[in-house]
Amino acid sequence: MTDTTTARARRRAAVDPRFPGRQDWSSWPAYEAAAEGFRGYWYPVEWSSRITGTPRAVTVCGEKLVLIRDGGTAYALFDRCPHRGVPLSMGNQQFPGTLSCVYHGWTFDLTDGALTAVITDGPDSPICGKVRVVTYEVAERLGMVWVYIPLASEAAPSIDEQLPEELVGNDFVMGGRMGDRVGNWRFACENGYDEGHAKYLHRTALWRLYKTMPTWNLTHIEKRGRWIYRVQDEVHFEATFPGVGTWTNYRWWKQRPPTETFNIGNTGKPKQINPVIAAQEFPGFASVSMPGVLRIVYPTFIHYEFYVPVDADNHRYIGVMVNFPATKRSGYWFFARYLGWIRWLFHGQFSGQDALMVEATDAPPERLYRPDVSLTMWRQLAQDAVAARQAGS
Amino acid sequence: MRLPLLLLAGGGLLALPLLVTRWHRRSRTQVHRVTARNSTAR
Repeated sequence: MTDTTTARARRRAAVDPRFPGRQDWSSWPAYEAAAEGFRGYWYPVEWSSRITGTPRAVTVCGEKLVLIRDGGTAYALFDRCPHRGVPLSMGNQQFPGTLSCVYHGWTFDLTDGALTAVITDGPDSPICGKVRVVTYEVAERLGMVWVYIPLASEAAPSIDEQLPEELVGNDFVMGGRMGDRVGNWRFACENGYDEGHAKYLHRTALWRLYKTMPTWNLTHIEKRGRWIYRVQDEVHFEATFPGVGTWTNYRWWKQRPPTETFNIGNTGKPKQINPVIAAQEFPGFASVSMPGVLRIVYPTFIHYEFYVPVDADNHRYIGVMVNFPATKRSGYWFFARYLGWIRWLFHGQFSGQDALMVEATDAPPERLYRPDVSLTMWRQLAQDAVAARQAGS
Repeated sequence: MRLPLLLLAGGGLLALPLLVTRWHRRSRTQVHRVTARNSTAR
């Protein structure tokens, strides 16, 4: 860690002074300080079905947690026995509603973390009731277990206030893929919302085999509620670059690029938009909100990415594709398409290209270009959210 | 000559679903139906 910091400082010092401009993140101090994520938010941590009576260790925002299910309810506790510091996730359940440490049988209540029994100290152990481990609020949504990482010891707000609005109060089917990835969560989130990358990096993805990706766009950012949207003012599918030549992603086997500018999907103006999606009146097809939730709107489905900070160098990537089917049959058709096609290509190879870039990203220092307004506005959104909380408290 | 080939093909066919299931679990891929009334899909 120290080596990395020193290396970064050396590179920052070596930035060429002849090219002034924003090369560090000092304009967004709260964002710069959030290497391990923002506290005070709900984070999805694991598929619900993987949380069972056997304790499972997870790390979120640099904090080690143990998850366990008891009587159908999932619980989260700080993953450290106060006795000798052994992870509680190494232990198991000896009594209903509790978790016992593997080392000496210190037994904690799952609801409040209180030490209720010490198996190796007898029923009258005087330490019972005097020790407690921190517990976390847990919710289950979208087939996943979510944990609230508090700022201090405040009660968690309703998770429905943080979920994308269209996922609360609508029926839908979804497919998702979860993975632990190398790289800071901010690089992952910035990559997701990055205006410039998709049309170039993903032009070779099999998911886009028959779709022509734009060459370049003129974009501005609009804020609506807690989301910021990329709004495409101009979409260009071919361009001539002075002195070097003409460039396009169009090939003879790909669909012909559209002639109109569009803001749902990234390859053309749709003929028909799903009514639930149309009702949202999204100003742009890519939007992002705190604490690192990306929403990409296509005419017939919405793709979400949740970037969960693990620690400063790792994050958990959760890709979710949601379909609002008109009938039960079309829902099953979506499952078939997701498991047979989408998870391999979109949530597989396409998303793998992003993973490679996130792992390789090394900034600041950085030199931003015109499309990076998406990055700076996201950083500003995060900065403003922290400032608003500080002002409110 | 035919028997080993048939055994190999049969074994392959039997192993394929196991491999796919194993990869499915390792890739942490799931599908869910979520209803508005109860959004806590498990």
